[in-house]
Amino acid sequence: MEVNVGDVVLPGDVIQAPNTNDKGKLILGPGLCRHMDEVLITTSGVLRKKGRNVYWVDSHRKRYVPVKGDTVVGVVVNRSGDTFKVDIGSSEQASLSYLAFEGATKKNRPDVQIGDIVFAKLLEASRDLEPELVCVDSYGKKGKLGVLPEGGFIFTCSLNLIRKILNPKCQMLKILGSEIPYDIAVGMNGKLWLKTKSIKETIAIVNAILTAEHLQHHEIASLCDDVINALKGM
Amino acid sequence: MATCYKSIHPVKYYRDFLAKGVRPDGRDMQKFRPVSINVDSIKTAEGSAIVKIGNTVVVCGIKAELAAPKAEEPNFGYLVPNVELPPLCSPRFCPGPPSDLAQVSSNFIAETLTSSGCVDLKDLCIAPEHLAWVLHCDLICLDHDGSLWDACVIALVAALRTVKLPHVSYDVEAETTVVSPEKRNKLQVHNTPVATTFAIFDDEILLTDPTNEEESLSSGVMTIVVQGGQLCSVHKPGGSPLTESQLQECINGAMKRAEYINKLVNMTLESLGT
Amino acid sequence: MVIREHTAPGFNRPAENFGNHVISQKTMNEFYTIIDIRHNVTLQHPVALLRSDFEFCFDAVCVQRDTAVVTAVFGPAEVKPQRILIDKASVEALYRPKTGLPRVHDKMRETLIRNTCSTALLVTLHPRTSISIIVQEMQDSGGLLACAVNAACLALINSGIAMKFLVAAVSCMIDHEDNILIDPNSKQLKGSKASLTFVFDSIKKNIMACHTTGRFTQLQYEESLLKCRNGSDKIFSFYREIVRKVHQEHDRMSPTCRT
Repeated sequence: MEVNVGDVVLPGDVIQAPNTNDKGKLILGPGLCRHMDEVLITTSGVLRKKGRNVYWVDSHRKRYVPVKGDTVVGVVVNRSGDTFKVDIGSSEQASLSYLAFEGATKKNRPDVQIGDIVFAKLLEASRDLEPELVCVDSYGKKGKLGVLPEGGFIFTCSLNLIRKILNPKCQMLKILGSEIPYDIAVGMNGKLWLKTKSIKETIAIVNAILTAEHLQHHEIASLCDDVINALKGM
Repeated sequence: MATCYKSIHPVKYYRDFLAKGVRPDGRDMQKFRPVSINVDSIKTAEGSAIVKIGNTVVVCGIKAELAAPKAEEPNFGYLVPNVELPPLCSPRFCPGPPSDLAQVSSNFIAETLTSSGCVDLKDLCIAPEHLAWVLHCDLICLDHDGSLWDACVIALVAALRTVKLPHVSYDVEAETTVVSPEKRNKLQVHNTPVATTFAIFDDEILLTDPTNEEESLSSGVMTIVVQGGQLCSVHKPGGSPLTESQLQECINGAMKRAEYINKLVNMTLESLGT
Repeated sequence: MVIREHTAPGFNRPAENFGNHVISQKTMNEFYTIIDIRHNVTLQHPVALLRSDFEFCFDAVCVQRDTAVVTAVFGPAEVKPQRILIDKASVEALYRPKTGLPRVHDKMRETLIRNTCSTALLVTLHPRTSISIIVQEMQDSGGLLACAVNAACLALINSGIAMKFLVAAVSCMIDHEDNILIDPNSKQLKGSKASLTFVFDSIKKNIMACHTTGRFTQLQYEESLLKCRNGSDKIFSFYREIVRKVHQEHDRMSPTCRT
């Protein structure tokens, strides 16, 4: 079946004659694949288009498949030789070299223990290779990456929710932050790390984020107000 | 050279052959492997047969036992087929509990038996509610080189046709059983189903009677059981999709094969002088 | 049909009626979409229930007439060393009967579901991983195999795993007067001389899988195949309807999905 942008698509559908006059160049995002001269849909969802030639399928997902350049939250589960193994929720544990930290040298090893939570960037993510993490950018600076401080709380949610709260249009984290001081690390792998002053505040924010899954933006604002009021009332 | 090529790129090796319309073992697409049948080979069993299709060898032995029929089916006997795939038949199988393939095969053979109705379970009943025959049909594969179910069905039917059950009389009042082994009756086999396996290579080429290698490289297999111009079972457990015309081709091939196999089995049984 | 009623305080929405499609929405971490399409004559009342409240688990309840199964899909996940395939994902299907342990008969269903799904899935996209499909039988009122295949496909759609095409299974029977009946129930099946189940792909509607019991002629086989193929269109449009409903809900809920 041939489909257009904005349609609900199912695997096996074909995109209707994508503009081939742009030097025949098309950028295919998630949920699409090329087969001979046709563009086939591989996941169910809604077909989207951005600009002249960028296509992708919006779909609901929970399982993380590593993508190069994503920032993720992971737990250090093992240490073998020069690398740490980090669980980022994908099918295979990611590796993190001890040299991939700011200022780390062979003599000056970073202080990373098993069980630590790291916020890192995927340097390499190919289906045939083990995903590789780094905690520095290309200038050797750590930026916001690195081992997250102790005393935080880690929880998971669907990948759609992550994209939603990271959307610039979503004011949720800002509104909450205006009243409750907290630190948060949002990983594209569906893991979030949160640190507040009290357990009460942690529970409130976790619940607020998880509830936002099926809410609209204006509803989220009122949800945030509810949460803040409830906390103040206590 | 050819063996190197084959082990490095087996699929392409096959593709090159098939493009010329011939399979690596010299057959063309529709050609079957030679079949040889030996009946009544195991003297300790009530009925037996050995079937060889190419390199695939299946031995079938049928042992009879007396038991009380099920309460819900008081005038039915039992027919219990069991397919065994010991590690000796192929490196694919490990010692231990029956593999998935062995279980699926046993289930398929059992379904084929009921669908075709080649043995009427009522014939196996001696005294309703009290005594009936249990026929344990053990199918042991000695060498698995593809088309296992074809060999199993041929062996089973041939073995069933050699079964001679001793005469049993049952006294309901006294609840005594008298077995007279010297007086034996032949088991009624009402019809003779024949199974034919096809493999689908590269989503479109149909290979009749595939070898083990062909089965593992193909994208799907299908088994059709034919019995006297009728279809008994069309079993295709997934794999690449087939068009209707391809399916028809398979059915026609299976029909022709059934005639040939039945002739062969009849000839073998006649040579036995029974 | 079983619909669990949950009332989460605070953010509850009433069930809404869209013609004869019933969609009910529970918030917090409960999210059910219940879609009920009443087909005219052939396929009666297939009902699907998609739920997404499990961690990494995507499941679908598929109800056809009164036959019901629950399916869950896990993956692409870590794979046991003995099952690892270096060039593709290893697909496994687990079938659990309503009572007792899986029997020999259930192995056949597992094999059929596994082979069908692994052909439909783009397994080469996730090498060295495993994709498990768990099918739990809830009730069998005829056409269990077809229902299980359809539920497995729904769960795969819901999981967002990359697939080449969708599959749809339709069962039919031939009665003693040689009439062909689509989607029979267990009562009708008792008076059947043969029963057939076909699985079709969504692109060319070719035969993916086939399982039959009983005896029939070639003509009857072809006739049943044709009838079932026509019936499969309904299932494919049913799939599309479900995805449309689910995404409508999502869109209504989250404008971020729009661009």
